[in-house]
Amino acid sequence: MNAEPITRVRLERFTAFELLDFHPSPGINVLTGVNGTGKTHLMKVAYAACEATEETVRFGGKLQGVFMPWQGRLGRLAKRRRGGGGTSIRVERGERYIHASFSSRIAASESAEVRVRGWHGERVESAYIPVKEMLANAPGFLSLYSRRELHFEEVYRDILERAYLPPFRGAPDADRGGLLNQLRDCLGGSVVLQNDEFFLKSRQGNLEFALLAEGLRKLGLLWVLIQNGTLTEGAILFWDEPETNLNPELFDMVVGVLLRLQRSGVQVFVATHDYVLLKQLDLRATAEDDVAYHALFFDDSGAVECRTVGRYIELEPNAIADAFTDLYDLEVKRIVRGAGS
Amino acid sequence: MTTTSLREGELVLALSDGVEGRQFDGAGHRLSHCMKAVDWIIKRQEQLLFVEVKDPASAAAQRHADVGKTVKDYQSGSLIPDLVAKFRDTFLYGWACEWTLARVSYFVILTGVDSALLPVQTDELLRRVPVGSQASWHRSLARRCAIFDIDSWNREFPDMQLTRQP
Repeated sequence: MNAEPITRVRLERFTAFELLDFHPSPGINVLTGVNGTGKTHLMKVAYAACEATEETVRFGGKLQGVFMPWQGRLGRLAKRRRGGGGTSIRVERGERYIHASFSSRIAASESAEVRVRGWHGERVESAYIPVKEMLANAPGFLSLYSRRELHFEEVYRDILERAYLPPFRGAPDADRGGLLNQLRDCLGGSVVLQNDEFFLKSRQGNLEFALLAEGLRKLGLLWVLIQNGTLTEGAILFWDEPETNLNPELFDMVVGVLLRLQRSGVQVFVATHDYVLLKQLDLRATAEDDVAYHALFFDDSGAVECRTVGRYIELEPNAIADAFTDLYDLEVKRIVRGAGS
Repeated sequence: MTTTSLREGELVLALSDGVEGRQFDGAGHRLSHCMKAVDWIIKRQEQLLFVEVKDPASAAAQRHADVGKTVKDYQSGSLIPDLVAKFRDTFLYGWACEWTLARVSYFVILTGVDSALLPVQTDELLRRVPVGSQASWHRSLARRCAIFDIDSWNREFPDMQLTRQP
């Protein structure tokens, strides 16, 4: 039986959130919103909870690792406000849940009170792809990370650990095979590992990742995660700003891969600032696809709210479209005034 | 009703055989004191097209005495509500006239704007014009709704080529 997807994330007095009750779809979840509305924080909480399905991983410790609060003080993740007050984090997968609470005064992650129901019964495979690409910096990073205090959030270490997993034995099934072929066509080859270093293997030979365009390295990472079985049915993918360093002409391929992953049972969370990515998803998703658009925004009191809709056209507020409308209005001004001629 | 070309300011639409069109705004509907109207009504392949032309790139728009007002009229905050009103009133007019409204599409021609900026304005329009079937409706209002520039219009409609003829 495959792991259940995340069905709810409830955050109370956590970082940017006073109270957020977030209900994701089991398919693709697109998080939009201006900077500072907590898209990345929301994904990191959900990712930390997935990691904590492994009984040896402490939820508080994982939150500490992926957020890296100053001096590792977990209490700094509490929303700052007069009078203090407790922070509460709850992530649900159907009837299962993990719940952590702590005050702003605590330092050690062990001080967080964690309650679970059925959370450790089945491990959830998950992958968090951070904004910055890491495969080119992979050689030696993991051993360095384990020995030294490096100021890198754990998501960077974790994604490399997953990338280094050996491939599944035997031929991939039809779903995975199709995805791998699609990515290989775009990359112009497949990804191989030699002495801890990633190369793109093509007809021209092996090209080290450091010499590959950063956008293509991201696609290479996706290829690796599919090939080694990290992203299979029941897994959860978190991808922070896929658009970074990626030419928009590749977005149709990226969206195609995300849709196929979703159709094969992978729950997907994507935080984006990019109109083309959103529009590709809007135009390519079919009625059978399960796509939810979540607009995170500041309400009149300055608190972060979330509004969820099933169609891009209903997304409101839409900071990305607003930016394009501002451009449009400027363009009209130039046309009519003839300033550009 | 049949004509071989339609003109709105500097823009001329040449209609091929089998496509019928009429000028609607202005003298066409005689209700301009109380209803808005799209510029052209076109019958094409069993479909009724409501077509509105917005031409900020025209010489007339750029010669207009009140530049500030002209800019405002074409900017999104004024343009979109205006386009919505034109569609609704034209549809209502057609209902009262018992036109066949089963297959209506609403198209806007908007000139001079970078084509990359048109999809967002199309989305803005789609947020306010209900396209396709809606819950509990037995009929749809508009089947399609889109904003084109001259090039994309001519690509989409080879039998209705649009040219600028000052």
